This record gives sequence, C-alpha cells and structure tokens, in this order.
Amino acid sequence: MKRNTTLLRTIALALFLFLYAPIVAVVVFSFNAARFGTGWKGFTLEWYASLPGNNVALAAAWNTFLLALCSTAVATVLGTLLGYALRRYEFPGRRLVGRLLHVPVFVPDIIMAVSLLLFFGLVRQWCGLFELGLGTMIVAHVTFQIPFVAIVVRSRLAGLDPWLEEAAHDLGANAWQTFLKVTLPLMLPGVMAGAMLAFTLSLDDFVVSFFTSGPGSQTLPILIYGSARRGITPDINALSTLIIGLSALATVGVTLLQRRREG
Amino acid sequence: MFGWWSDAFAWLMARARSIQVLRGEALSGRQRVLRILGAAGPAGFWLLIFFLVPLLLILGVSFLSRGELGTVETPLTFEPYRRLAGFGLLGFDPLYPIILARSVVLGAGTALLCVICALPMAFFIAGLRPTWKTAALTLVIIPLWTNLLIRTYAWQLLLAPEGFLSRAAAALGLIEAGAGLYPGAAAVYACMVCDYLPFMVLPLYASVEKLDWSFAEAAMDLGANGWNVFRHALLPQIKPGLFAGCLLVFLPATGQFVIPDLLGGAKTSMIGNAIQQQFLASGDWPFGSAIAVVSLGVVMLGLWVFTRQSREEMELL
Amino acid sequence: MPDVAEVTQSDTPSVEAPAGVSTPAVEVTGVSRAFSGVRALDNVSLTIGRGEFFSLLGPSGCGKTTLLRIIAGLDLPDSGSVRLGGRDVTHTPAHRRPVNTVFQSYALFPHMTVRDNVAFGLRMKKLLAPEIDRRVVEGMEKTSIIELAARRPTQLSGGQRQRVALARALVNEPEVLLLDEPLAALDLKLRRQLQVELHALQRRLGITFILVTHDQEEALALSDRIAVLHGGHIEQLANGRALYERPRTRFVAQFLGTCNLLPGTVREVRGETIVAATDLGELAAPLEKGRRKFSAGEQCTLGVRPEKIILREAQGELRPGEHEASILDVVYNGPDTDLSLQLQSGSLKLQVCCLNANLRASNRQSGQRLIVTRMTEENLIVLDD
Repeated sequence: MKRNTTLLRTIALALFLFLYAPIVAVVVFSFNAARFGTGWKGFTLEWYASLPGNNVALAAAWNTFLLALCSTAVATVLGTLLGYALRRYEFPGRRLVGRLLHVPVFVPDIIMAVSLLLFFGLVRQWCGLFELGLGTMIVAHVTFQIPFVAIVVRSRLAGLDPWLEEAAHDLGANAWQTFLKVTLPLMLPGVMAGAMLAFTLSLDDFVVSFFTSGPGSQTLPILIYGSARRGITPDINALSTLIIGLSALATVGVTLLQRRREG
Repeated sequence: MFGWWSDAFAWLMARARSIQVLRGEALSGRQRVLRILGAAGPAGFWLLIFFLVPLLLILGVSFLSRGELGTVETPLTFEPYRRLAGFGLLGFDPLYPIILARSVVLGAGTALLCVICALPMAFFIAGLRPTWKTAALTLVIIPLWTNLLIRTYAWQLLLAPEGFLSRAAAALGLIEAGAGLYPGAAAVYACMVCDYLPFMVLPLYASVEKLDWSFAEAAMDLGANGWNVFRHALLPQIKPGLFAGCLLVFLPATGQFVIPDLLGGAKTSMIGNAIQQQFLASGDWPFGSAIAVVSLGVVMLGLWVFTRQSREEMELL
Repeated sequence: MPDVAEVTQSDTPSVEAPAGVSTPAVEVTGVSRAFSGVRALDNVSLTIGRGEFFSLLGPSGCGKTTLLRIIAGLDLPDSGSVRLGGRDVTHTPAHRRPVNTVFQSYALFPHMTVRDNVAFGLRMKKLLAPEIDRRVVEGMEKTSIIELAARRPTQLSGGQRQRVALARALVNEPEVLLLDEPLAALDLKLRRQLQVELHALQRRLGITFILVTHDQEEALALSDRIAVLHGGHIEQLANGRALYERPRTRFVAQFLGTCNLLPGTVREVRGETIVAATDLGELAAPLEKGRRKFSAGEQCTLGVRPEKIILREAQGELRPGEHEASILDVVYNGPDTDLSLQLQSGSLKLQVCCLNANLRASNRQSGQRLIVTRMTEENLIVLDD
C-alpha cells in the first residue's frame, strides 16, 4: 500500500479546508458582534442569547421536528414492509419494482415538489382536501422517504440467513410469532438505519417543504432560506451553528455506535 | 364494476401459482397473494398515488393551456414546448434553450471539478491508518448531514464584496474592485463543488480502497511513468466509483435551484429557478410543467446511460 | 444362495415398513413436486416405521432435500399426500407438525443464546417456565452442550453448533426428526465421531430419524433402511446390506461403492437364474423374485464388486472360467489395494480390490500378469438399466 506523499497530504488537507470553509464561516460569524455586513466587530454571545426568545425560530424548529418525527414513523413502517416483500417474496414484476424504486431517489426534488403542488391543488379544487400545511408536508416527506427506507431494509436483509425463518416455523412458530421473535429482531439494525436516514432527509429537506408548506407551517430550512434571500441576520448564524453542532454530534454518535456493534 | 374486481382477483390467483416464497412456510396461492399484497401493498399504493400520479399530472398539464393565475384550461397545445425550444410568441427567443444548456453545463462542470478534487482526497484517505481512516471519513460525512442551506448561504458571507477572498480576487484583477465574487457564477460553482464534494468522495473512496496495487507495481516495473501508471493501472479499477460519483453529482446538480437562487444573481438562472418562477411567481403551470418534463427527461436519460455504461464496466471488470 | 435374510425388499417402490410395527411413522404417497418445469420429485411413495433410522441417499439434485422439506411442511407437494402417525398432514403447516428439522447450516438464531435457541420450540408451545427449564437442561445434557448454555452461536465451533441444532430439535420430543446433511460442513474425524454419537442417540431415544445425505458411507453406517433417489424417483429402497450386495440398477450399483459392469447377452433364463454371454465367458447370475423378466437374446448388464473378484498368480494352466489379465494401475489404500486390470482377451477393464494380507497386492506393479479366477454365481448381480 502506497504511503501518502507530502504533496498528497498537503493537497488533501487544503481540500478538507475548502470542504469545511462554509461551516467554519458560519460558526465564526455567529460570534461576530456586527449587526450586518461581514466585518469583524468583536466577540459576543448575544445572538445565542436571543434565540430562546425568538418565537418564529422556535415555531420553525418545532415544525421541523414534528414533521420529521411523523413522516419518519409512517415511512419506516411502509418502507420496511416494502423492503421485506422485495427480498422475501418472488412475484411477477419483482425486479421491475426493485429498479423502479431507484427512480424517486434520483428525481430532482424540485420536480417532485411541483408535481405534488399541482396534485394537491387539483385535488383541492375537486374536493377541498389537502390544504397546504403540515399535513401536506408530511405526505410529501413520506413519499420521498419510502424508497430510501425500502432500499436500505432490502439490502440489509440480504445478509440475513433465510433458513432462520424456516427453522422457526419448523420449531412451531406461526407466521406472526416468527416475524416478532426472529425476523424483526434481526431486521432491526436495518430498520433503524432506514429510519435514521429518513429522519435526516426530512430534517434537511428544503425544496419539497417549501413548495408544499402553507402559512404557519414554516420549517427551519424555510426560515433560513427566507433570511438568506432578504439578507442574513446574525441570529440566523447562531441558529445555524447549533444545527451544525447537532448534525456533527449525531454523525459522530452514529459512527461510534456502528463501530461498537461491528467490533 | 364488481365483475372487474373479480376478474382481477381471478387473474391474480392464476399468477399466484408462479409466485414463490423464497424461504419460509409452504403457503397456498391465495395466502401468498394476500401476504405480498399486505406487505408491498401499502407502500406501493402510497407511491402510486403520491409519486406516480403527480408526475403524470405534470406531463398532462404540460400540454394544457394557461388559465388564470394558478389554474389550467383545456385547449390542448404544444405551446409550452415550443416556447421551451425557443419559438415563443414573438419569434425566436433563446432564453429557455440557454437556461437548459446552462443547467447541463453547470451539472457537468460541477461533476468534473468534483472529480478533480475528490481524487486526491480519496487516495489520501485510503492511505491512512485505520483509526485515522474512520475519522477522516466521518469528517467527510459531517458536511453531508449538515443542512444544504446553511452550507450555501455561508458562501454569501465568505464571498461578500468586503470579504477577504473578494478583495484578493479584485487585487488579482479577476473581478472589478468593489464588486464581490458573490453574487456571480464563480460563487455558484464554488458552492456547488463544495456542497457536492462528499457525494463524489465517498463512492470514489470505496473504489480506491479496493484497489489492487500490484497492477501499478507491474506497470512501474515495465517502465511506465506516473501518469501512465495512473491511467492504465489504476483508472480502470476505479471506474465504478467514478461513475457512481458522477451520477450522484451530475443529476441533482442540473436540477439545483437553491444555490443559483441564493448565490447567482440574475444572469445565472437555471432550470430549477425557471420551474420555481413559473409555478410560484408567474402562475403559468403548463409552461412550468413543460420545463419540469424536459428536465425529468434529461435526468432519466442520464440515468439510463449510466446504468448501461456501468453494466458494461462491471462485465469488463 | 446369498445370505440376504435381513433384506427387506419389494417390487414396488411403495415399500412396507418392517413387520411388527403398527402405524408407520411416515407415509409418503404419490408425491410430486416441480420447480419451474423441472421435476424435483416424480410420484414418490415410501413408508417409514416407528423408531427407524431411515436415510434418503442420492447425488445433489436428486430430490432428497425436497422430499425432506415436504415431510417437514416447509414445502407443499404439487400432488400426493403425507401422513404422520396415520394422520394426513399434507395441508398442515410446518409449525403444527410433530416433526423437527436439523438444518444443513444449523440455522441457529444469532441473536439468542444457546439456551434460548434450545428453548425456542418449547416457548412457542407456551409451556410453563419450570417445565421448559427442566427439558432444556435435560436436552443439553443429552447432547453434551450444557456448559455452552450462555454462549452465542457465533462463539461456537462447527461441531458444537451441530449439537445445539440437534438439542433444539430433540427437546420438542418430535415424532420424527429430520436431518438435512447435518454433518456435511464438518471435517472427517469430527464427522465420524458425530456419526457414532448420532447413532447411539437414536438408539437410546427410539425416535424415528430421517437423514438426508449424499455420503453413502454415512448412510450405510447409520441407517436401518436407505432409499436411493435419482432424478426425482426412488431407484431402490432396502437396508444397506441389500443395497450393496444386491443393487438393482446400474445407478445404485455405482453410487454405493464401485461396481464392475459386464455387458452381455442373455443365453437362457432358468427359473431364478440368468445365464449370459459376456467378455468373461458364460456367467450365471441370480435373478430375484419380482424383478423384470428377461428373454433370451436380450442385452443385459451384470455387475461384480471389486472385492468379490479373486485373483491368483499367473502360474500353471488356465482352468475353465479363468482369464488372464495384466495390471494397469496400482493404488495403495492402507488395508487394501486397488488394482486396475486389463483382460488379455478383449478390451474389458476390471477394478479389483485386494486385501493386502492376501496376494501381496501391495507389492504388485503395472505390467505384471495375474489370473482372474472363475466368478461364482453368488458374487454376480443382474442390473437394470
């Protein structure tokens, strides 16, 4: 195995710095006492202090979290069942459905967003359902989460010994008991991975939320976008830094958990 | 109506004999069908209603005429597509063809720049010791899970006119004094590459990690210089990773609208911006749908080309 | 006449269980199963008695595992029926049949300890905890795994896992225990040891065992009766001795051990004997009751086992029925030696197996001359195609 040359090391380090430049900028500016502009005017924590009193931000945070929780719950159940069916049952069209599952993953989110906007609009004209709001956002999120969950669950199931379910039947477990006592416990890591993926996708989503949101259902990304268009206020930097911190913690936590399970 | 349902069920029964449960209980045909419908049914149904039908609606609406704000009317027409191709009401207007071309160029350019940046990073990480490797990979993944909006608006801060980078660029004569790198095409490219870099690094790293260096050693033994060693011994092996990375970067990048919107200014409008404008601002849903359909067509084409290419690559390997 | 007093044979594949048993443990009638147009089982019928150690023997793809799974309830036959202890269970799902299986890959639940694995079936039956504990401990002691109770399957060796799989199945006190090539993944020494243990266990417990294997030595050593399967149907069903001494078809003759094939033409049929003209001259071979009829002039194949061919030194005159041969190849096996011989007259090659205590076979070299003595009637076999 080649040893890393100093040249390679320098280039790679520079690229890592490039990768983190935006994150570092946001963190640094969150402590900047300047009210506007980007000149440095001293260190302060006032922007962080202002956050708890910022009702708009708190409402947005609550919406974001609630949306992610609800949509993840629904998508995990539906996606797990779909992933399980694709791995376990042979049926006509199985391979086609499997390949079709990748389509929603690659469709640009703006196209999915406007298509849902159109769909909700037309249904609303027809029978008054689907007023834009948290409900439509949950529906939209579940729609793009299901394929991800199904794909993750299906690929994790590949590593599962298919004889185990047969052994359970042989030993006297009916279908339901087999699922509860054998299949589900063994599938759980995959289901958890799918659920986490879905949760993160929902938290980070902007485009789909933007097009399917209504008054009063603003999420954090929408809030940040609005602020970025009008001109960034420093409290947004503080908010963003907190989000960055949580994301970093979550990523590190998940990595450590994975290593502990594999080790 | 009821007859149709019973016919459908009878057809399912007949097909049920060909349905196998891969492992598990011995089930009768009827039980199998019920099981499969129960498991795959809910998700399939959901995706049918909330993914497929809306897309079909978009396709349909793109052939309709524009009604009053936010509605559509029935006279079927190709007008939106003609406008997209440049033949608007007032003669040839290259606005939309240019936007389409610009989006494709942006996507391809981003992918290319990402490849150039990701290669050294991937090789660097692959050459680290195991504990450092995990740490480095985690460092690459963290930006991935950090909100795209945050990483995007940050470039407004970094490239503001009074910022260090803009002043340096002005001093070098790359831009006018007093102007900023933001808003502008440079800002858009910088942000795109930075935002999509992890999507290129990770698949590329997966390929590099599995590299068989004996090919490189054989090439060096036979007298090849550095570039030829890379080109003949290493590049063929990392092709799958390169392809996956390009796919993960190019396809979303062409449909990107947030980044050009926040960093680009007026002259860098892309497909995404056009769609957003037509749906939210102008209320011209048929036209917006037509743009969406064409953009989706580009994506599907790219996906199809990739899957065919990668299958050949896999067979060669 | 050959000493086949212990042989139990019948002309139809649906063989009756050994006399003296009331309700057979397993009755398979007319079972067929096809996968994507390929017939895995073709109208198979057999009967297995209580307390029997029965083997399904055959090469891979012969349908033995499919038959086992149908008996277990893990697969539905396309046609036919399965009865366990007199009750029709063809449409009873696997979890309700009084049958347990030891899988080839053991299929131990990786997320449970050994004890929980063994207790699984009892828990499914919803027995009371003290009863479960008692039976689990008893089961683990019988299979010598009691000290492994708290371990996980991933921490066990192949032989230990096999014992856990066995305990997990036996603890449910099934009427029939099915074993799907349970020793295939183990090395030779361990396999031999476990075969002995398995045999002793079955004798002690008195449970009906059905073993699926492709290892003919294993089947011969362990079983009361063996069904040899080929291409989805039963070629022959008998005890090991009958299968080896009196194989009925070419396939069975060559699957169990080696057999020299002597093609010939029928000269005459005298009651229960056939006389055929072969490269080794006119030979008489016994034809049991119930075999198909042969007529004079028909082509037939006789067989003779390598160890039944007697050789002597190439000295003196050739007596009637004897033939000269030269050695092509010598393979030393320890207790015996395999000699490949080429007959001087004609192109027939013979495989002969000699104990090294006789004839100093181990000292032979290729090219040397030996004499094949006259084949006696009891050493010859009539083979169907």
